[in-house]
Amino acid sequence: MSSIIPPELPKLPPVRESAEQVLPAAVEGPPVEPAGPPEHPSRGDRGRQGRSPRERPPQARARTSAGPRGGAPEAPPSEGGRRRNGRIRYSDDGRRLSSAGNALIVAVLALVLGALLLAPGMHKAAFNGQPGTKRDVSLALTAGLVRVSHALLLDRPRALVQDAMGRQNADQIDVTIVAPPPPTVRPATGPTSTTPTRKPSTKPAGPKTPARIVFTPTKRLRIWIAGDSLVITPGYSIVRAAGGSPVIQSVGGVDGHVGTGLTRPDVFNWYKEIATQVKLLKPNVVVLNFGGNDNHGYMTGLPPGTSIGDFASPSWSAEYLRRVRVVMDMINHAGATVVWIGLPIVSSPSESADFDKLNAIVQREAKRRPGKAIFIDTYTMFAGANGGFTQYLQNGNGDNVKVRAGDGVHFDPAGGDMIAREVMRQLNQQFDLTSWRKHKNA
Amino acid sequence: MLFPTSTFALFFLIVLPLSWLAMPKVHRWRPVIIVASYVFYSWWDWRFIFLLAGCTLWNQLLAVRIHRATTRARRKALLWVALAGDLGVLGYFKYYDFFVNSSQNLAGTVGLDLPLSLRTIILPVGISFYTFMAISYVVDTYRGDFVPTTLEKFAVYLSFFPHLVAGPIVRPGELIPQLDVPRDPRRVDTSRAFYLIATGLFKKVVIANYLASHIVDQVFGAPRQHSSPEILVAIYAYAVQIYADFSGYTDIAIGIALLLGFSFPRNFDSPYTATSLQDFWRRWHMTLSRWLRDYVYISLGGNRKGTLITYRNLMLTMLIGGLWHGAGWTFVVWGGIHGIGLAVERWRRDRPSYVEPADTLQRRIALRLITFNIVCLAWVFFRADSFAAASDMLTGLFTSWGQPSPLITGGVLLAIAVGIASQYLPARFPYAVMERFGRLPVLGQAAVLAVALMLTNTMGPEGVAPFIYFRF
Repeated sequence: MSSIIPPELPKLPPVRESAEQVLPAAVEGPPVEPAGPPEHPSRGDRGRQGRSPRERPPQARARTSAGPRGGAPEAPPSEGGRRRNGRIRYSDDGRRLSSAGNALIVAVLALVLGALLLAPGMHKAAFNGQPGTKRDVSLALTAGLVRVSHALLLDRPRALVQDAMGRQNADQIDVTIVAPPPPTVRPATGPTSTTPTRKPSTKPAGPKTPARIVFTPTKRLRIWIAGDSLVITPGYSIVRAAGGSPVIQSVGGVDGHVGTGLTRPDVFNWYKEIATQVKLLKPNVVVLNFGGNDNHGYMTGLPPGTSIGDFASPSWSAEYLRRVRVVMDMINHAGATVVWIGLPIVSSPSESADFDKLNAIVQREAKRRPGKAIFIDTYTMFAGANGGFTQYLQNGNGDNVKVRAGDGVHFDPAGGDMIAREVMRQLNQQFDLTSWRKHKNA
Repeated sequence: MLFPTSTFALFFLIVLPLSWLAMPKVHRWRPVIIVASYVFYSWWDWRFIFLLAGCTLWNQLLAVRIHRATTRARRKALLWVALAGDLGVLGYFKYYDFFVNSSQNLAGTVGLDLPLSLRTIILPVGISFYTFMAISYVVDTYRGDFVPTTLEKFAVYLSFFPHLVAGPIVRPGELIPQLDVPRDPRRVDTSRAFYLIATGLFKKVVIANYLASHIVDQVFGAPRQHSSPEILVAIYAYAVQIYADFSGYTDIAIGIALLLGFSFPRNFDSPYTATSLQDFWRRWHMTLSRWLRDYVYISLGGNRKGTLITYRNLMLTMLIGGLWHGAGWTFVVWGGIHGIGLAVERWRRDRPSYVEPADTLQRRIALRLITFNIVCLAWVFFRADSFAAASDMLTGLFTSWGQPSPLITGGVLLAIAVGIASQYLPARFPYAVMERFGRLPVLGQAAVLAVALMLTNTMGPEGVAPFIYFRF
């Protein structure tokens, strides 16, 4: 057997001291054929050479006495330990073994103490949970933990670490929905227009389609992408597509936050994030995708005295529409256009039906904002030949391409590329991204 | 049920005492742990427990038949039946769409239309791992290396929750004998178990997740939008991320098994200190690489059939290893790079004129750097979504120097440095930590672990990212 074992493929874990090689011989190595000495002695091996047994660290002595590593069948601690004195038992490398009872006590105490040290974060996590008995119980338990932790000053170490890392308010539960600032006119520093200069208007968005704004390589269209996990793959496709255009500049990368949406500002406050980033990045276009985590009948950040019914009930839909408007207003009032990537058809029929309802709310609102909001209908774009869910679609060459991830919800990169192409097509319709070439050629 | 979640913590706090309470009568313990493991597995999708149960029954039935078969021909036929079943299930769930799609597209280039339809198949978590373990069982039985055990013990071997979804790939001879006798509750290696769990959590939650969210995903997502230094650092960051992610998972798995009284083989041995690709594969995902050696390379003939066949076997083994990781041609290229590298190393050594150079520190440093960079080159194909993306990464390495590199931050460089430097720690460091930890009183041990938990949770990015190897 040994004659056909190739040296190229792994044999034994080499005899070598490393950070991970810390078990006694009997417990550690897989029982495979001995591989002989390593090609080059490691630092640990060199360190052992020339030392007398007495100088060797205990684990090295133990190895020597235990014989060659890996050759013997694996011996669990129950067979490999030894007693030195009294009831204390030691492993072959001289470390103390413990009892199962002790292990359980240590684990329970560590988790209890850890829970006290992490109490504010756990309370926030409990608050962010889905409504129901589990959340109610978690909230009650963690509220008690927070009080005890605070009284014993055990919340301080976490706060100190957070301060050091610049995450001062990480445990704060923030459900405020920032109202959009009053509409302002895009400042003169913005992109030039081919249409005759018009007097700035302070009127809110009307049904009239605005003139196509010109972007050039020196005044590039700034695009920012944000949303839940569904935006990440198409977001990178859009960033790549933007990189291929001399007049489009991706700003802020892809701001994707898994498990977030518009219904739960406590989990992640998108209203605050969008307000901050729009001010900071000054985008001309904001690509959004929300809703994948919003198909449930619970919202935080409701106006005082407001209550909502089940998912998609009239009161729920009205509140969701209000939130969509807040987001779109925030972006439009900053002078940017919203490109909202709708929710795709998914493998679960019930979830697909939910996504269809959410799409209808957003699509209706986007239609009310011609020239200021574009809705990308991915639901039909990704439907199969029979109108149902499919992982594969044909590309321009007639080849089948996998466009959806194995989970039946998210996009694969080819699917992201399809969305990016549609976004670019819409941007080309909405803005003048090519006339600069004519001027350059002229 | 992911390891770094409160759900798993609660699950384990129930299973740990139950397991030890049942342990004195090991025949009572086995049903307890089977139920616990199936509950753990059903947390992802309860339907797949039938697949696991079916895999268990199928392989047990065939292994017993193989053992009882009196003629070599019958044993071989039964082995092929077992393998066909195992690989058929794995192929259907993992590779069906990949092969149909590749075949259709290939046929389409010559104007043919294959009457095969694509399906939407959800990959059962852990199927690659437990299928390989089941194959080990029947092949070892066929080879006479192992006598089939009872259905109950085999069910524990295959479903034992610490290794179920992402390994390590434990051999029958390593785990099943441990199921014969009760574990001794007075001799639990808690210091090593807690050390592995705490460091595994830190590697996964802090190092791997930080690098993924702060540079790797952004650069690999859109390479052309990033500078050459960012691309270079992102490749190194991914090398550290995948090491921290996967070795972190197996560290936790080994630690959990130790707390239950069982020992698993090691899966990583400081892989980025390797001085050759051969050395790398002795250190990286060791339980997979020895599986490939024993059940693929040797089955193909190993090095018994001449030099050229040996190179072919090496390449095939590594290509299969690549395909095992994912149904995609980029994974095949990843395996191909390693296969070519291993073949070149072997060819170099086998030349009659070859003389082993003197082992000097400079030479060792140079070899480590070369090996690490070849491994990183292969990681580009492993991580990239497509050949186009991999090509963008590699060309971007040379074309965008001088651009601003905002993603290269102190935090990113520190995480990479910690991930690599930890592999060069002398063995006495973890030994000393465990030794001192073992001498602490119970409350002291709990306090140390609680602080480690707090630091890991507070320093890691928000949310729980899935382990990379779950999708394999």
